[in-house]
Amino acid sequence: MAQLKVEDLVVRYGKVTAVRDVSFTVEDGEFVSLLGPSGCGKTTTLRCIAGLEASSAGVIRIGEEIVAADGLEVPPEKRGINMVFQSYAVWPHMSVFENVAYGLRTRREPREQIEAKVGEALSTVGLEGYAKRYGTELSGGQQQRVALARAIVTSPRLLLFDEPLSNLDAGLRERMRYELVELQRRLGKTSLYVTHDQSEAMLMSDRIILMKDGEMVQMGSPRDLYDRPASRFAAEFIGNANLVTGEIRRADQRRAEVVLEGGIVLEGGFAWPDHARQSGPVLVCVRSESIERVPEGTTGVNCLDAVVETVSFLGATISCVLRVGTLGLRADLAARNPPEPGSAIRVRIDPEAVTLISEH
Amino acid sequence: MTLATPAAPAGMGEGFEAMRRRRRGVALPLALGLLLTILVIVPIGFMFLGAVRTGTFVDPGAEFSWRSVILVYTTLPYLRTLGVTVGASMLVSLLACVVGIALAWLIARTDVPWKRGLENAVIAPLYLSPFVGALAWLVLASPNAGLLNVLARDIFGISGSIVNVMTAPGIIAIMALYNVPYAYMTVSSALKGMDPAMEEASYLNGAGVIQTAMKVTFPVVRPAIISAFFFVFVLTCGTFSIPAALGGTQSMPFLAVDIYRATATYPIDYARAAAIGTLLFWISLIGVAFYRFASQVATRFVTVTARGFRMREVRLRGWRALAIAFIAIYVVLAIILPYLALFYVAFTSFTSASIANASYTLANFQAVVNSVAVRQSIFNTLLIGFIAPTACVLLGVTIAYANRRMKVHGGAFLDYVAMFPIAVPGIVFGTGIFWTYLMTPAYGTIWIIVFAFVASYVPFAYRMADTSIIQVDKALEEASALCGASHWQTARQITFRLIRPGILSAWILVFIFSVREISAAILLASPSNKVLSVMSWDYLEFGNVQNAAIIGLLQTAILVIGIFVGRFVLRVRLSENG
Amino acid sequence: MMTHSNETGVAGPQTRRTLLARAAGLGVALIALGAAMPALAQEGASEELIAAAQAEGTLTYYHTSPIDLTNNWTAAFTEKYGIPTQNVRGPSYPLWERWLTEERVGQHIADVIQITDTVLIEAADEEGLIADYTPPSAAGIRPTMKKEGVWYTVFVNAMGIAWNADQVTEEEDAMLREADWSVLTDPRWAGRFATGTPASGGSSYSYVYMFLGGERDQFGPEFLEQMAELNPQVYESKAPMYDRMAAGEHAIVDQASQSDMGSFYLRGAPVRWVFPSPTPANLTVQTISENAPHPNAARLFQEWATSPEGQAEWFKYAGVMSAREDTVDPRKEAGADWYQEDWYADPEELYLDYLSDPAYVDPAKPIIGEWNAIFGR
Repeated sequence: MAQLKVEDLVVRYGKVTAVRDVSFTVEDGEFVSLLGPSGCGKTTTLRCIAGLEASSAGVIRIGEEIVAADGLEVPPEKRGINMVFQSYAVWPHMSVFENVAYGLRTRREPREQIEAKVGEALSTVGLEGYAKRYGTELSGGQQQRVALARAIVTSPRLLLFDEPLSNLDAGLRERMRYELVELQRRLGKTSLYVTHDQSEAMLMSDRIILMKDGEMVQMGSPRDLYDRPASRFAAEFIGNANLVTGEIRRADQRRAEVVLEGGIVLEGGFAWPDHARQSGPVLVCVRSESIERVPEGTTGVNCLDAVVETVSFLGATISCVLRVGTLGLRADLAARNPPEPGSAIRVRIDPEAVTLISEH
Repeated sequence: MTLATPAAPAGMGEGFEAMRRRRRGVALPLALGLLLTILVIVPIGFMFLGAVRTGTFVDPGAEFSWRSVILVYTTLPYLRTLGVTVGASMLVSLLACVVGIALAWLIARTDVPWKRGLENAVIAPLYLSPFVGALAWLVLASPNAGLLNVLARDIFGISGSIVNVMTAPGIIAIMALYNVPYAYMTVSSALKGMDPAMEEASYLNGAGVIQTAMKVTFPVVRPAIISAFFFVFVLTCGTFSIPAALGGTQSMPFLAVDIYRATATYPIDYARAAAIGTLLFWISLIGVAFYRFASQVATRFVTVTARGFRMREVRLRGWRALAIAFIAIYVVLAIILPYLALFYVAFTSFTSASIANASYTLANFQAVVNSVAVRQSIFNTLLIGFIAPTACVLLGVTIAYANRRMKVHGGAFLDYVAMFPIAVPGIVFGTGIFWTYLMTPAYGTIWIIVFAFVASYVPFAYRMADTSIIQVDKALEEASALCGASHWQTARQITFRLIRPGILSAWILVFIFSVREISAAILLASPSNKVLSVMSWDYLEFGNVQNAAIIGLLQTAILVIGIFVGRFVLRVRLSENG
Repeated sequence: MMTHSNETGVAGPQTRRTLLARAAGLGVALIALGAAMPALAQEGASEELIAAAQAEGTLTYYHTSPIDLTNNWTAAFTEKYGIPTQNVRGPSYPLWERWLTEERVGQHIADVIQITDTVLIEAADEEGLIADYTPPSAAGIRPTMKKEGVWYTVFVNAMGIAWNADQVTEEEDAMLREADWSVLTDPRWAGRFATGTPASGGSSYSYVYMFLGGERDQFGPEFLEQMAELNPQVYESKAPMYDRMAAGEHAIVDQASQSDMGSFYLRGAPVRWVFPSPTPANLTVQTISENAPHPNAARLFQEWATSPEGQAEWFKYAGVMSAREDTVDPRKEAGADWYQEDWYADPEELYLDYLSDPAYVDPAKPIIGEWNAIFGR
């Protein structure tokens, strides 16, 4: 196990800069996700760390060892890491056993040791009894387990995951998420996980690094990213946020009153201390689940009259589109006693759940 | 696919649809079967019939006899030649595959420079008729007067010869040289279609470059390698022009040369030629079976990935010079030396062994280029070079489409028959075509050559079209059908558009074959259908070598222009879908 | 098969410059053939025949003589009568076999067929495939070189021994100049000698026939066995053999025809040749198809080919001998080209009287099998 440290990583392809000044650290045993839409540079970053792609500038350290820096490029096979690929990359000409044993055989480990380790890895991923099968005879989920077993069996210092679940169907993907996370916690491997699926990242990661256009946008725990998005992009990409622009009316160091379109006034807190402003425009982020229905006539901070435009039943909750003045807001309300479409209701938004984002 | 979806329109529409389906299910395969029967089975049938007659089909004195078959199948000289043919062809195939694989790997996976140029160079030997290439090598490396040997003697004072192509190893090496492009194209396209993650996973598991190549890359593309091996094997078994030009049976016994001799020297014995042809047919059929099997597995193995990530290039570092030297040697042997030799022959008044004392002249060149006959045959070559590949590809696509998408009755039969011609040596197939069309108006016109070429090359067009169709996701066609497009609209607007690159590659390949082909054409030429390859061969055999070389160069020019148009105007990449 | 339409202008400039003026119709007898000929009135082609031929407009000529030379030759015919020809070149036996097949199934394409094997023509004549026509000019063809009404000789090719002067020592050169046939069995030529299989065509066949057939008493299998011991390169076709000899691959070849050697000589190749006695000669003859699609053009062409004019036309392109006594190579007259070389001498004793030998006309051609056995083929 080792710490991964990336400093000022830059990847350029000709005139295009795919990754710009990316710096982060993955602590020993930590599970970190690189999250972002496709083309944001997350996979490129991962492949640089794997040594599959050459960096243009910056330093990558695994443990104490520098694996990539100016003029230095440790080849992937010498980095002591392993990776699970999106396409599984299970070798079709080898049996499951041979696939998993491959890394151990390249190290010329003794046969009994290989057998023991492969057996253990296969049972770890729940593939006992599949050792003699061939890759092409397995389902997608089973192939992914083979890839996983192959990656962990070499006891790598660092495990890399390149969207490993995106080719699986929804149900299996859900289950594999839990299994992966459970496995990672159990093995305590330092892991870097690339995904474009925010719920996957939220569920699995200790920390998430959000990327956009080759740059890091925000880094933090899933909770931080959800509750305190630092930009419109972060707020939109993670969770289902209502985003409205407003004008600061009154503010202190942490909180402010904001006037929205149509004169609606909301109180909320700045996402981060450096977002605090005394005046000027600000982005108001309201999570749909933080809008609650309150009895008619309730007064107080952030209580508003709304007209229900549409209602969709989701099971435990309903998803509504509410109209407050001219403003449209999505809200998740309790499914019990749902409002009729067209009816007028009173809602409240907890000021603690209203995040104010100043975009620079 | 409209036909495949059970959700057909209800009521009367359904009955109508079912009726149409039934009719199409019979009419199309019947038509295709009939066409293939005439094009392929009848000529092959004539070969088998010809083997058991004592003379030609119209010879009043000819009768049924097992004589030739017994002679060829049971007597020692033929069986020994068979052994040598199979062994030599295996060696040729092995050599061509080893070099082709090495080149494909170097160009697809490493940081060798000038990749595009190199790729063009590697497949450039395709643009030369093999026997013209053999002629060039005869001029370069015959033991006494070969230019290389003479130069070695003059410069280094070596006595004797440094290379000699008029030997069994020489013939094998030259045949291998001219087959490298096939191995390269097959393996290269497999390497390009392979999921890069397969190799990346190997690196991350601690394997180095060599180990990854040996343990992962080549095993994963093994079906492509096997299919290339048997393809080259079958092609080599039926080649007569190279061994014939390089000393014939004196250098190495070869069945295809025996066939040529039986049809060209006294006593003309078509029965013996046909009997040897049937013997080669069985051998080739085994090769074709392996080839079919391997290429089917190959298409199953190819994992087309959506990710646009470039494969990490292997840094050759210190090995780079060696890799470049290896490629350079290939390019020098396959292209530079032969073309230099051909230009030398073309521009000297006779082929002198002494470059310094040779008398250079433009007279041959001017005479050939200004010759009405040559111009006519350029025109014929272009005409046939357009019609034959077009017809061939149309037929190939139709069979593949009928088989894969319409699932017509008798699909397996069509599939087998369409692959048969690969197994028949061109010269025997030419004889079969001769008998098939002798009494038709096509005889003596360019059409008989078109028929011969379409029949000879339908396996290539069919196989490439088939591979392309397999790779088209059915959902794309189903989406079109659900958008209300008719079967034909879907085929035209979705399927055929998606397989266009594959079809164009097939067209280019058949175009190359049609311009170069000699074996079948040699028996079918008439006043009105003369083509360049036949002219070149006849000049080599009965005129002067100078003109043969010039016409060989003209053929190359036509091929290069054709490929250029394909590459840059139609944007075909021969090597990717090959 | 090789096909050509008529064309002009491929003759070597040297040849043309020296010879054009003298080419036609010089009435000098060939000394070597020295038989006396009765003077005959040369009628030439009748007006009606010319008109009918021109009405047909074209002619298809199957031939075995070299491509370009033949094209030049037929071009002279075209120039004179305005009738273009379609020339199809093929090796004797396959060409003949193909023509037979075409005739038998009614695909009548060829009008005139030229080959080097008279036996085949006579067999076809018996089958009724040959037109009976006696061109008036053919009266001038030597009696041994025609079968009246059936085939007529276009030219005669003597075959000797040729060598590459750069590949032999001066001593060898001197030896070869004076050579008789036994020189071919000299062990010094081991690995330096090439020959052609008699299976390739009429000229090679008649060459080998002299050794194994007609003059068997003098040469016979023992002679060829000694030749075979030199391990010669055996060619299926003679043109490449000459080419490789001129290039220096082989020091010496046999079956060296006057016309081919002359052409190499004119191109500056270091070739020399001699005609040991007896010198096998081969007749290149032509015949008219019974079902010729252009029968009048065929007859006109046959008439022209046997006329002094047609025969002399060959001299412009090749050093052959005429089948007529009254037509002789003008370069010989002028002592030009190889006739000026001190190593050159005309054949003294042509071996030609084999055409009616039973062994020669045997369609099984048993000597080919014998030759194959000797040369291990």
